[in-house]
Amino acid sequence: MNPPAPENSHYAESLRLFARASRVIPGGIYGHTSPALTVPGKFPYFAARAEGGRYWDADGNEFLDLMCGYGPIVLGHHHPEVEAAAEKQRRDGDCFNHPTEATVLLAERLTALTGLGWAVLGKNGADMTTWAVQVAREFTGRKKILRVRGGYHGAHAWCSPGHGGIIPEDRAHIHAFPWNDLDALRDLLARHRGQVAALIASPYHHPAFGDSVLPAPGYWAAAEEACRRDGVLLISDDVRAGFRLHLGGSHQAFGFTPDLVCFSKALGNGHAISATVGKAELKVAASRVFLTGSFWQGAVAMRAALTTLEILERDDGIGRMRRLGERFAAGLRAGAEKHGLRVNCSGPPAIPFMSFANDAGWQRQRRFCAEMARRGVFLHPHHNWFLCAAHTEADIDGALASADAAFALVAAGET
Amino acid sequence: MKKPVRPTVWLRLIAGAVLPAFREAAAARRAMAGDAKPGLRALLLPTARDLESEAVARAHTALGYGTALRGAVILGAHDPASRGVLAHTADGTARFIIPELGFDRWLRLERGALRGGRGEPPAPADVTLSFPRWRTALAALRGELDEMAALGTGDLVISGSLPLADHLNLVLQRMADYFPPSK
Repeated sequence: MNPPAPENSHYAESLRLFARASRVIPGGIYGHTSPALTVPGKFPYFAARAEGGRYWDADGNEFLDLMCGYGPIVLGHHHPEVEAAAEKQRRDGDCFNHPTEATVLLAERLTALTGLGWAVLGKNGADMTTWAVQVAREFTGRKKILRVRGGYHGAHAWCSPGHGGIIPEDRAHIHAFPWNDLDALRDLLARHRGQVAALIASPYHHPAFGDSVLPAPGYWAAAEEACRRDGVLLISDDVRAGFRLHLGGSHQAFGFTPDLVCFSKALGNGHAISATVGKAELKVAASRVFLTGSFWQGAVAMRAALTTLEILERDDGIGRMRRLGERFAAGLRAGAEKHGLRVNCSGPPAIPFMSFANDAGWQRQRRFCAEMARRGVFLHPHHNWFLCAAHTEADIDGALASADAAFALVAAGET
Repeated sequence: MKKPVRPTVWLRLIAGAVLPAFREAAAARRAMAGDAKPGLRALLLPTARDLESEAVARAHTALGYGTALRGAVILGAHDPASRGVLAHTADGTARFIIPELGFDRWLRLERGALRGGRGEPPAPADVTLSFPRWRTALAALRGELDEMAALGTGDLVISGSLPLADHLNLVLQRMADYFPPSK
């Protein structure tokens, strides 16, 4: 790991770029990568290059990448086989007047992996969650959508966590309930009986500014049963967790059966691609919901996705991430305990998160993650972390050594 | 997106937030040196020309934030849009600091109800919002600050619970719906 660097000089180039960016780009950096969401000044703002499980920022600082581009990097940055497949397709062409065979191959692969009947492809997660909601409305002839409070389904008007530019009508038929709260779900279903098209939810709850929460025992079975009874479709938003927990979709890891599953992030190992996979009986309704984008048939990303899925299966990448995650979580718990700190390690091992107990203002968390960044380990203080199959046991042990030093500072209460 | 305003809430804001601001503005005016003192209107609803005076701009900034924070308490109790926001906000204490102006106030949210005050808050702050430079605070008050960019450059510092700051900011922004800043 890198030794701690002096503050205020560690990210000088990032800060210079940000000053330029803030003059010509609203927010400077917008969305989930905004420095406002980390600890401004204590994290890198701009990246330069990446390889495997590591990346380098604009200042040349090296980081163990435990965010993996907020999820897309599942095999490691610049994976040679994935990039070779992409490059071969790039030479043949990417953006045509027609789809290529890659579209068909990827749809076949996704249906085979999930056991569902059909697939469509896009570029971003929100392309798919929004379209899936439309398909549910088309199939059921109903307006209302149920979602989990604090869940994330993209930055479209019906679901954006932002406030600007949203009008009440955007969400007039969107109703939220707390995660794992079956009574609240049943209450909403009863209140809007015959009007609810779908329940959309991630397979487990991974809110920003909160611990990840797995489904309570029996939750999904009961939620699914309640939806089935009312003819309500179940949409699994597997954009964030997909292909890190189960190759056939995270619902298979948690034992429920959605009607529609949305994927993106890890599907293309960093190439822009998303997918919705659905039950056969929804195929006609799906065909009636217009779906397109200028770049959505891009063959390069589809070849990358096909190769990513092949390697994940061949090398048991999911098993590897799980084992690394278990090692990481166990080490974090032990490290915190050594320094007399109580931490909550949450989420599936491959998509871990850790927070401090009794840290309502996130001060300890922010200090810990800032110290980790100074030591060359990139973690986010308020968003779940991601492992990839390129990480090694030595990477995890190095991160834990850095955590030991960071825990010591947190325990000492130094600022 | 501007939400509807309610006349009854507007009257409560006049009584509970704006009238006290007149008293504070009068006190600020008395404390100003020199003979050419600004009018109360210039301190409370300054034009761009009024703000060319640093003394007016500084006083207006402190008065504006004081009014907004008092208004937030009223909005939290009576404005449906604000109540809707606070109903889904975790309890906590926020501190608002503009060191160059000696401005130090707090808001505390408990079970959906807001109260506020000056100086040391009744509980450790879950989030502290600080403007290192008062000019940046003035820009934010007038809706002229790219706040996300300011957070990245350190012109606005939010330390602690960002969701609490975000939700309280939504309530504070409602003041501009009821009392649009003059240009």
